[in-house]
Amino acid sequence: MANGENQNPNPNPIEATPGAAARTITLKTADGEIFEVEEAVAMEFGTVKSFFEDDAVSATKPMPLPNVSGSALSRVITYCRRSLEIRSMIPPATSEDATAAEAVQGEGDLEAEKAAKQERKEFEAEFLKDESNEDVKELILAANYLNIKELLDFLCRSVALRIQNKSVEYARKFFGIEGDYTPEEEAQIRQEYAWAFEGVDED
Amino acid sequence: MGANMSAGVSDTDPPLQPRLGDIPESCIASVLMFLDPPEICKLARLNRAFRGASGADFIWELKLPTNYRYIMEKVFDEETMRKLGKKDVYARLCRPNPFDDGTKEIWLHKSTGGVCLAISSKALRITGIDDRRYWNHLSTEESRFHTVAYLQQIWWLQVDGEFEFQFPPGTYSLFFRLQLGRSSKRLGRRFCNHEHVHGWDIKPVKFELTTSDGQHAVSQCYLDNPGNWVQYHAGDFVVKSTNALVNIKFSLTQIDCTHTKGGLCVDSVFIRPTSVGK
Repeated sequence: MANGENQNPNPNPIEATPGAAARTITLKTADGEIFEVEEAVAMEFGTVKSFFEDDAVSATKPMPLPNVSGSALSRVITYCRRSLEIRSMIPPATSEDATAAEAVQGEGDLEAEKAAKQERKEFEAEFLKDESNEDVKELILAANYLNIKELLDFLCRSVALRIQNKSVEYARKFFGIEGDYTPEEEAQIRQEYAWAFEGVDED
Repeated sequence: MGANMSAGVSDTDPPLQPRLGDIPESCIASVLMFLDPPEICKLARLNRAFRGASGADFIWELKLPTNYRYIMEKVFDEETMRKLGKKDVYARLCRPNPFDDGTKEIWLHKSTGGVCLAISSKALRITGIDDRRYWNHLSTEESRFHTVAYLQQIWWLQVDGEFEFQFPPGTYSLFFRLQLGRSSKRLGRRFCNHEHVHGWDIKPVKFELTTSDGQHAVSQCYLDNPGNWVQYHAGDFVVKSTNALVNIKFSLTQIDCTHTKGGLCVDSVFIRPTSVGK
């Protein structure tokens, strides 16, 4: 059984905080690849988080992910790592009863927030640049299974952008689905949604 | 979630590929959420899963304007309100809904959910409206309210309106829908009678708009384009906070008493988000 550690494709893994042991969690994908992931990153996966919260299992046994392939998981990890990095760029919000001095510091926070937003924008554009429609779909299924809200929102938003203002046929091809309506059902739907296509009501 | 790792996956099995059509309805709904309503409705035709997803309440809750409950109370009765899902509320509100005894109509701009309103001439305060030497009410199919106020001749033209409403935050534009000349239909053809049209090229009319929170817009404009309905832009106002009742006052005046004017049809006042094109 192939048991080699996966080469980390991300050249900039998060540095372990000084003094704290970098705890890792081992994940095993459907196609048998093993990933060792920093705990902070793995805890971004809702599924993994609840698994370890419920079980209090030591992180030595690899957690199986039967619905996720190695290539998908690798990309997911890249995303979550970068996302954590960007989030750490923003200092925690100052409390309501901050002193004047702390309120001034708030301006610096706004700058940091802007910078983080810009970073995120560039990173997200880059992340999906070369992904095919199939890859994006695979990522959605993975993000859904692993319960990673932020990634799922981002992917859904991107898919929406890809199919926006295109024909029904295009969307059909994109999702690779056949229509399953009878002609009667089709007619029924057209009627049900007729309101959305009525002429714009002007004067 | 068993810890059993040997669940039949052997070295010789090909790696698992997700079935492409198997994206769960909840994910589809999350994609649809980012599209505009007409697009969502278009994609409902894809297959059953898309149809199901397109009906998800959480999607339409986001598309509805923030004040949709306030609007519903004005236009729907109790029973209707109880049984409508969010998508149906949106669909209903996209059609013009009368309220205030049919003197006003409200509808949503389909793709953005922007709130649009029309106020009938019957709801406006027109100086001299009861004097038939000056003003008359005409029935016409060219008005959504089926009636317009027609000015024969007057020195003092003053049309005032007042409207209180809870607007979703945004910038809104107010228009007067006016026409020089009186139109009618005979044998399927449209005719316009200009016999009373006069005085509009001498001095401009004044449009004014004020809000209860101190906004104020004033402009002047020559009425023109006889025989056609024109929406004259009276001004804009900004609504900043949600759930605040805004009272707006607006007027059209031409009170220069050195000349008379006439032949004017006043149909209605429109209010819509500035970003919504005509």
